[in-house]
Amino acid sequence: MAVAEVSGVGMDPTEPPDDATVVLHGMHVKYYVGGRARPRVRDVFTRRQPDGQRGGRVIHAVRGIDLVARRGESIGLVGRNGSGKSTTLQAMAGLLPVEEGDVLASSQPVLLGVGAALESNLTGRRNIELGLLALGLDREDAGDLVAEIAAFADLDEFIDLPLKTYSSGMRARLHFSIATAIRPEILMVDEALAVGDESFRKKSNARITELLEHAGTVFVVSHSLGSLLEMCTRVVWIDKGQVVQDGDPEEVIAAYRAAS
Amino acid sequence: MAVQDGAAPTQLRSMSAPQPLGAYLRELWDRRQFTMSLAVGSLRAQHLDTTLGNVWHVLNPALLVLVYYIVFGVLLGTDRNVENFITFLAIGIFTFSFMQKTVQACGSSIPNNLGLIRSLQFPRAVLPISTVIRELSGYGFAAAVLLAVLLITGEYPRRSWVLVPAIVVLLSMFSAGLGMFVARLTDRVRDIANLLPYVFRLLFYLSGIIFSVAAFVTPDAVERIHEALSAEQVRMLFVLNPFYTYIELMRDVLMTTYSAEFAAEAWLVAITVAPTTFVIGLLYFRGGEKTYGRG
Repeated sequence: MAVAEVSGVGMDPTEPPDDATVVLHGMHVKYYVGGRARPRVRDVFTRRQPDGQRGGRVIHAVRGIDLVARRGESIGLVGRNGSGKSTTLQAMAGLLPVEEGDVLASSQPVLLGVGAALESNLTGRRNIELGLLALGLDREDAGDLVAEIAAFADLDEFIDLPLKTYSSGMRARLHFSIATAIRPEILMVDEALAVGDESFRKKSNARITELLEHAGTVFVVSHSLGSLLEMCTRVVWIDKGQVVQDGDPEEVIAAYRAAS
Repeated sequence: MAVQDGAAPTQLRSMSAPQPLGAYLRELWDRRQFTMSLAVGSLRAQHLDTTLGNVWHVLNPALLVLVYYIVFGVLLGTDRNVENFITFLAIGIFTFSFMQKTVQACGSSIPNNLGLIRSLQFPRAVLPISTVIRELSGYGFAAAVLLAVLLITGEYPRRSWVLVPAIVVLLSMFSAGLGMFVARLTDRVRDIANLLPYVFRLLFYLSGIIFSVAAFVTPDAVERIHEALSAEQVRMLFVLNPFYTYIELMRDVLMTTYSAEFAAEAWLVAITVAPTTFVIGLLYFRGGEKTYGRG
């Protein structure tokens, strides 16, 4: 993997460097869930959000994360299930509202998740087109890319079958191919690579390296510590919504392994 | 701090703060092909699991008119003083059910597209607007049924029919605005979804679909309820209900045997209400932009 000489480890989020791509400053994210978290009648007429004190369930998923990411960095996020890794990515991509603090990004991050749902009744080809249009391409540019993406995803005859006939690995391959085809400056991959097979993993690693060489930033959430070591220039260990350690992949992963 | 290989310094912008209105509208316009594509895609997927497939787009409205004709035209005889009642009924039912379906579908466009919302960043107004386009194209089939009814009952194309697209644009705008309003409200209070069918049921009976307001709101009928208003004034109040207004205009324009009592007032309401509702609906919807997909 490309090794970045730059690193945003330990940088002050209030004074980001010129090549910063993502800056988190004291970011908090909360979920309001469960039966009793539903709004009361009087909440409807006021602008208040339901809060925890009144018996609602509030999950404080991310509790004040500071992070500066720079061009060419590939940053792995590790942590136990429910530690807030995926929530962090979603908030960085602007898909989840931030309760407190700030998320700054140099361009719209493209998030690639396993759960990414396109239209499962439509064919792979139609979904490629739909995904590209959603990412902001016009029909002409999208048309040119469809064949390339179909080839990269390597889905053979499945490309013309509805998405609901796909295995989870095939879906993930399709999503990865769509998301990386537009060469986003900031790519976030959430576990999506874990379901790919060996040959696709090699291809996707090559694609990520290419993005990094073009001064992009890649975030990877994975439980496969081996692939993080192989892929990342920096690893952030998150637990209970807070950063435990941030730095060199080998050191952080060793510490994480020792703790679990 | 050195910048890598002469690349320009990055411009950081907030991902959590709402975009300015201008930027939002521009981005919405930039995603017009996505909006269309989404509409076409979900329209195709709608009847995929049924044997008759897309035939249902035609069969549904035809059966609906048949049922209402049997119940109200034949059994209850609400066709009082209305010539060509079946066409009168068909126009009312198609117009109303288009508006109802559109508003309700917009209302559920957020929960129905959580996958898209959680995986891709785009102006969320794309969702209700593409819902309107989907319903509109779905109603192309109903229009074919309506055309058949018109021709069979002896209503042939004439010059006033050119106004139909204008009415369709207006009532779609109205429905989109109301739909976006309902969408945010439903996202905030899910209970609204349970309430909507009753609201529409009431509106259905208040919109003169199965009876002619001119024939039923008579001095006799009004006197029983209120003495201060004349029957004519009460009938004019009906025009303030945009659902009724759009239906009346459709009938006025399409039928030779029926003319709206307050056509001028109806046009005035139709033309002012549509853009107003659309703008208010869009602004209200955008106010909740960052909270969609949280639940």
